[in-house]
Amino acid sequence: MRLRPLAALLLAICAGSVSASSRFCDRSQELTATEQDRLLRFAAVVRQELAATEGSVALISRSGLDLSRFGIRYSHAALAWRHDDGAWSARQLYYACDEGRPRIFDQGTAGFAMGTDNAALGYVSLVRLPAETLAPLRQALLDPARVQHLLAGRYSANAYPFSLEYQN
Amino acid sequence: MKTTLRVLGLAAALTMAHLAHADSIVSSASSAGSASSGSISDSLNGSSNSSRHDRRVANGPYRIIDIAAVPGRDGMTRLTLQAEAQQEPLTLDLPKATFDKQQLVQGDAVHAQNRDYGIEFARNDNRVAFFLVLADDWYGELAARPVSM
Repeated sequence: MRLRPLAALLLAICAGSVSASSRFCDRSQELTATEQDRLLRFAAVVRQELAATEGSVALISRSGLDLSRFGIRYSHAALAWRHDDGAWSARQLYYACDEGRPRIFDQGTAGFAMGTDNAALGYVSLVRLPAETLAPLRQALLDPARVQHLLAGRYSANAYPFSLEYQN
Repeated sequence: MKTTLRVLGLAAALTMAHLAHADSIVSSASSAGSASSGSISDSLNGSSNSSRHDRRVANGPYRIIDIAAVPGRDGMTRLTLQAEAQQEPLTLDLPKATFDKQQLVQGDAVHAQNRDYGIEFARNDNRVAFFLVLADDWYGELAARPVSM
């Protein structure tokens, strides 16, 4: 399945977002073994940090598409959650290119870290959330019906909190 | 989740004001499929540690003692590798195109290096990686799986 991650928030802009997503779906990106090695070793560090996290939910963001011209480092965000076996997944919004629509996906730490466009320079941000927010957040996050309810049928690349038009 | 999204949205709003005329863009993709990496289950046999999740080999150079097609897997090449000080050879299956780019032949050496994620195989002469073997749990982390009802 070919996927393009849509930043849940810090993404730029476009009224014609569907055509934009199609254009980006057509891009090919094949990381070399050296690039993958570098990103996977980076993912190992992220894994260690998540393993050391006391809560079972955290906000995780990464650089991906180069948004430096807007002064934005992190182009993609997700809510990371811990499985019963200790592994973490990032629950996030992606644009499913094959289906031509946005969907919510779970992806492991390694895949999340490897989503960058620049293997030479990347960033991941982990935000540990206040303890009192974790239980209700996790309950909502892992409620499939609620998750689907939050998913818009039409893709918008940007998320503007006070707009009825630009939501994803 | 809704509360969190509102918080995140607020952060986005602080930046969006500056982006009204930006180009339409989406962030980049990650891919589970690659010609330069594979899972341990699909790629490696005969190493000293048989755990699928944490298989290790000896670090260091391995001599290519045989190159063959992989039965039943079109486009795949099987390298039989012999470590200098290890009796049991191991086999590495990788895409033929990936191996052909290295222009290595029988008798040449490759270098194996254990990593947190699995094993990095590189040319022995310049140590440039050409194929990664990921532990199965790591490999499974690459794919994005849709959340269904």
